[in-house]
Amino acid sequence: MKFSIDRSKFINQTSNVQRAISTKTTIPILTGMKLDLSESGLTITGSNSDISITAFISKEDSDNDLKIESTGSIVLPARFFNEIIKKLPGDNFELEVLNNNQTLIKSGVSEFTINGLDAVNYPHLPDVETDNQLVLPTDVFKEVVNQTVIAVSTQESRPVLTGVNFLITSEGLTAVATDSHRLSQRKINITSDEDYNLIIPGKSLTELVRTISDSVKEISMSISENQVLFSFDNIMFYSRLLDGRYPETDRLIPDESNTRLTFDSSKLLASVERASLLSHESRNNVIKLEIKAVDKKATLYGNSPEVGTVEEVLDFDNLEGDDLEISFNPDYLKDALRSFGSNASIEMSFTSPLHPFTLRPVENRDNFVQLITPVRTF
Amino acid sequence: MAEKDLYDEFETITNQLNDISKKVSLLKEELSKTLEEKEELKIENQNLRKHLEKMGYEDKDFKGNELSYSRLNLENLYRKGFHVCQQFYGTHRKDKEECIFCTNVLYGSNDKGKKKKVKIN
Ligand SMILES: [Zn+2]
Repeated sequence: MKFSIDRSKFINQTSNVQRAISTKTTIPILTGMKLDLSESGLTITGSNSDISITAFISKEDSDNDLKIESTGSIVLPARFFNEIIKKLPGDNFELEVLNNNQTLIKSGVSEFTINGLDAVNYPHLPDVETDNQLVLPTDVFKEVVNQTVIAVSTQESRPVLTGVNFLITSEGLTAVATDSHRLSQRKINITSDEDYNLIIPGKSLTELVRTISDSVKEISMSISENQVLFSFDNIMFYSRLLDGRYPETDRLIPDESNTRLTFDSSKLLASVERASLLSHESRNNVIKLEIKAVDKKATLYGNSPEVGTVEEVLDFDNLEGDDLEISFNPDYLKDALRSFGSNASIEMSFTSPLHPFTLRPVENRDNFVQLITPVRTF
Repeated sequence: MAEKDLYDEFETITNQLNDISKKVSLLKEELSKTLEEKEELKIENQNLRKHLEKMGYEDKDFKGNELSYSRLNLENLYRKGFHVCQQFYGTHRKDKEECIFCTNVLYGSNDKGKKKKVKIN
């Protein structure tokens, strides 16, 4: 195996693949980065137990300045290899695999020899059929992920809840996440002839959206028994799926309410942030919302026995329905409000102090809902 | 007489010891009864849970205003800090954080059209 390549183009791709490489893995070869050189170009692979990422650098694209002398494969220790490539003096570098997986790297005046590993021992990437692909606009997909991952559980003791449940049918795509305290559900109009019900780990999705650069217009999604593959540009992103049955969440979302409050997301966020300054100081992190319908008044209360109290009269656009006093964890409301973006018009609907309350965008009410379970204080 | 006093005291202590020993054996009986009862309840609880699962417990909504006996029992259990939802039934609620699934079991979601049919296996 011997080639030379444009150094910055190479670094662009290794930085993507690097996301899948962990220094903490128990499988030594996975601390390495795999390079596969074929006649058509160079494929770089990184992998851990959850995700695998490959990036392809084509010979066709002259910007890459990829000159292939002989094909082959090698696994190089990712951390050292990346540091070396970043610090090389020249615009290009040359890489050659010598005997016993020793690898020679040359650029300008410097020359490194590092010990590689036989690529034969590198685990195979999962087999995912790409016949049935779903194509999604990148901006919409990123929105779906960012709006749902906030609600996934961080407790490994509840494996399925650490993922986002994707339900894809001929009627559309629904993504749901809940940590059992709050829930987020987003729907989009992407349809599929085949039905899918899969749970993708929240961590994989977070890494995935970081890997998709802004220039990518759409991504393809292929689903197999226990893996999902996202492909975009020259990148393939594999994630394992979570085993098990996701709880039915449809019935958790109320569709009737007794009190409704409409407001600007940024204004309410600022109020909740102030109220939570004190609640964070108290043992149970709770703030109270009091709604007086006749007086057209909504007030937030927060207190900490040690520090003091806060009272904040809310600036809302509309209020209707019954009087209400409800308490909840302000952090859940903050996460929910941020997921709507700034200055969005939001409707908050309440049934009773015991029932979860919802937040929905006034436009597209049916596409996005956040649910928060109140805290019972009586 | 000092000797008689000593004898009387010995008598008193002996009686007290007998009393205590009786009390201890009574307590012991009580304890083993309670332990047995606990085991029985454990088994009964397991059976009931199995039964509930069979009945499609998950899909069953309790009507909000109908304060049925079983619902009150579940509510008590929940307030004591245990999950009553199918997902985590019987496990401790960490820091007594409210659970969206339990809340649904206890108070329903006041939806009418969406109620699922009870599945019987
Ligand atoms: Zn629960």
